[in-house]
Amino acid sequence: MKKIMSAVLTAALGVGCLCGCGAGNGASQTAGNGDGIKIFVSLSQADTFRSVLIAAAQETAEENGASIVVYDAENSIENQVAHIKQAVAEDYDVIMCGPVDADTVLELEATAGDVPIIFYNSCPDDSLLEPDKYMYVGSSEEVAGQYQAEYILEQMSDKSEINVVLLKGPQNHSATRGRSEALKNTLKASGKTINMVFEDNANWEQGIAEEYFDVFLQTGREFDVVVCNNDSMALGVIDSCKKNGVTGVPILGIDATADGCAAIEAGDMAFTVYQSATGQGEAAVKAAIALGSGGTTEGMEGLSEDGKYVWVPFEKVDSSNVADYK
Amino acid sequence: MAKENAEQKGIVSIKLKLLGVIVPIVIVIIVVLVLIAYMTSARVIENYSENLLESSVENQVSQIEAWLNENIAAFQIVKSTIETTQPDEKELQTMLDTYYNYNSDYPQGLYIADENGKVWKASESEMSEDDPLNSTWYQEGLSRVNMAIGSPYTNSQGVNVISASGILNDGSGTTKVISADMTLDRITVIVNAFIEMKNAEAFLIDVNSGTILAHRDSALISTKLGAEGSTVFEKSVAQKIAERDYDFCTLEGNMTVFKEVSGTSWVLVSYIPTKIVLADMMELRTIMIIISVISILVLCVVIERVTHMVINPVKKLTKVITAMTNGDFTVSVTTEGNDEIGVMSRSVEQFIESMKRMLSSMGDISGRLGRQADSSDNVSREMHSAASIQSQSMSELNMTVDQLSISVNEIADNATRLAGVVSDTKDDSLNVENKMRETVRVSQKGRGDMERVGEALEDIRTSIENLKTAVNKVGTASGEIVQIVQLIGSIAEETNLLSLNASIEAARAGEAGRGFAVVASEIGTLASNSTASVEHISRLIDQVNSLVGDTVRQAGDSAEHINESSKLIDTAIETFDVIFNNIQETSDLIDQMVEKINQVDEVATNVAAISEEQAASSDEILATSESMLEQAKGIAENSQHVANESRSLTESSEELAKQVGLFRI
Repeated sequence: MKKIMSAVLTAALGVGCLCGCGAGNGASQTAGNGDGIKIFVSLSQADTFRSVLIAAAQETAEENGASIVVYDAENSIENQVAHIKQAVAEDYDVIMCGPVDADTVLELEATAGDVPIIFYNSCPDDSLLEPDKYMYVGSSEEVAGQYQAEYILEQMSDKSEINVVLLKGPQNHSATRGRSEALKNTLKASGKTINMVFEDNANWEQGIAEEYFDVFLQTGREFDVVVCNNDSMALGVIDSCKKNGVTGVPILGIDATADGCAAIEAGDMAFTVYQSATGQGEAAVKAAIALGSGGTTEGMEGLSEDGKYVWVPFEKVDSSNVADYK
Repeated sequence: MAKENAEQKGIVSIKLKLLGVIVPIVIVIIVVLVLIAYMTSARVIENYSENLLESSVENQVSQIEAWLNENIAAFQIVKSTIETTQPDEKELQTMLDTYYNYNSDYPQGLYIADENGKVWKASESEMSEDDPLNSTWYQEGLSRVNMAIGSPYTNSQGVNVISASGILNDGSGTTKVISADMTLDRITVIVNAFIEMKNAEAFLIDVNSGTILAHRDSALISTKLGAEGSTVFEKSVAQKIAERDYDFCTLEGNMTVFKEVSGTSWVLVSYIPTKIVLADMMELRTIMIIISVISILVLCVVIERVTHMVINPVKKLTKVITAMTNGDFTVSVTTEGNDEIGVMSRSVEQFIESMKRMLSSMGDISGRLGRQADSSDNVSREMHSAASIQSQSMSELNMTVDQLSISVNEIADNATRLAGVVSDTKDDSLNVENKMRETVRVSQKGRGDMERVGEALEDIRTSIENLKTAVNKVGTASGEIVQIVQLIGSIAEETNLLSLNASIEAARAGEAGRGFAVVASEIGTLASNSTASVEHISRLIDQVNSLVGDTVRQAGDSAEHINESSKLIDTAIETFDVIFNNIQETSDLIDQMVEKINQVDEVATNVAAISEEQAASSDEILATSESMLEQAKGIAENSQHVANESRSLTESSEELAKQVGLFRI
């Protein structure tokens, strides 16, 4: 009986200690104590946005005393799986992974075993995420589309009918769906009559966007605004407009790329949404440190209600504040 | 016999008890097991159904997507071929003709319209478009370059179709739209063909327009979902779609799953009535109830048989023991087996033997006991009556002693009172004696006094005699005085005459005679005064003489009186003497009386003391006789008890004899 009691007490104390430690680490991710946490980063493919994100991640890790290594999978799912195996073999505490293909996430999680993974850049299916185990750090695509819609409604508050041209990313891309759906839903919710006079997938490409817009202009249909899922396509539309002598139509993009910002400064583009690569990098590392130390992301800024996502806010960019994003 | 039955009804047999415990436990366990199994299975079936429905829908959707993509890809190939090859009219016609009836999904093949209303279509195509520019497919096609699925509409042939259309970007400078029609009936077939779950239903909704694209009930195709007259379920679905809430839910008794078809604004709704899913559960429940009832019955029968077999020898033994209980020791026990019951039977057998022996000896003993009890009963009866008589006598004696005691006490009281009275009398007589002595003394003194009075009287008589003599002498003296006074009177008269003559002579002498005249007047006055005094003295002496005469008379009287008194006193003295003698005698008598009284006092005191002792003794006797009475009563009661006891002993021995008589040995 005594033995059982002491065992129970020991267990209770142990749990108390664990809880205490967990709470301590939970707090530490804001206080900045990531001492000795080893973070493994698998990058799908280096581009401007991701490079900025990784740089911010490295800086944040260094500030918090965590070590970080970065591997580029060069857009190969085989490479990425090999990276994850390596991370497990070398006893890393936590993996940060920008999936080459979001459909391979289940395989990545299986390979990682007990090691927690912070996904970034490309969002896996909701069913594959778990609080404090497999989490996604990024910006909510819906918010970007919603910001575009809000800008349109703000600018065209006097119109009861709005004719919209929408150029989208690849058909099955999560960003395409999220941004387009949120745009349409927000516009419809305003009660105005929304006519989608042109809507096609220009696959993020400036050239395709230009070509499609040329074709659209040929139809002679009226339009009030051109909305693009990213800045590149918006630039394509601008090219088309310049070529066809169309002016005075607001063109909206997303990403606030350097070219996009330049276009805003030049007055060719009306509005874009800045996706903070730095913010995502920082948030991803903070979440990684929390999970790598066996703690929780509870209380972390931007944590979703179900505990599976850490959302990094988008920022609206127009001519008034574009100088801040150059 | 009836009583026996009643007794047997009253008892609960071991078999019943065992069955009463085991059977309910077995039933409860089986019921609990079946319930757990059923509930677990029910949950599994429900989850399984949900998963099955979801995977069915997912599969259905991917089939639809694949089907759509396949068709669209085919259209796109045609489209891009046209765009890259830029065929002339004839070549274009040939291409369009090639696709007529090329695929049953789009039997009419592809067709093209340009901004001027010119239409290219397969030669055999029945379609005729009067106003192609305002047709749904053309308008929709204008909004995209890549061919995509649009909204459903009724075409010129009155068929519900859906078009995949897009701008033909052939660089001709004229806007052309290329399109192909797929009938909704076809889509319905495709949709329903892919349902994997038995009894599940599915329909396809265009979210943008809220139109039903595919439904098993072809009347509903192309109508608005949730429109007037539609079912509550359809309205609920329309509500969920409007809210873009595509989570699994149960609507109006239907498990419902929503799934978006990617690349379109379509949502596939698949549902299965919960009761169909639960039908399996109902069957499962029925089977489980049957199984549990059968197993309970079988178990009950088995348990009953086994218990019966085990309990049977006990029942036989119970009969024997019951017979023994009723006093029948003529029964015999059949001993079989070597288990506990066998041992029990053998023991009972031995018990019956020893009981038989014991009972017969007990019969004898009880007979003897009865007789002894009878005799002791008689004895105790006699004893009781004797004790009663004794008690009564004692009671009478007690009363007598009581009265005696009262009388003695009265005597003692009276004696004591008498002694008191005698004592008082003695005191009084002593006082009388003293008084008597005092009287004697006083009377002696009185006699002395009387004698002295006699003497005094004699003296007084003598004195009176002397006084009479003296008074007589006074009479004589006063006679002489009267003679002297008469002389004095005569002198005074002569003086007076002299004074007159002197005064006349003085008057004649004139002045010289005046002094003499005064002396003559004074001598006249003196003479008159002397005459007056003489007269006065004469009167006084007369009075003295009369007084003396009285005194003499009175003295004579007093002497007479004194003589009389003296005589009286002498008589008194004589009387005194007589009294004295009488008193003396009385005193003597009193002395004698006091002596007698002293004797009486002595006797009375003795009597009081003796009678008090007597009273105390009689009290003791009374107390003794009372306790004797109590004892006598006690003896009477005890003898009554003894009588009762011996009577009950008699009854007991009779009862014992009767009981022993009940046993049959």
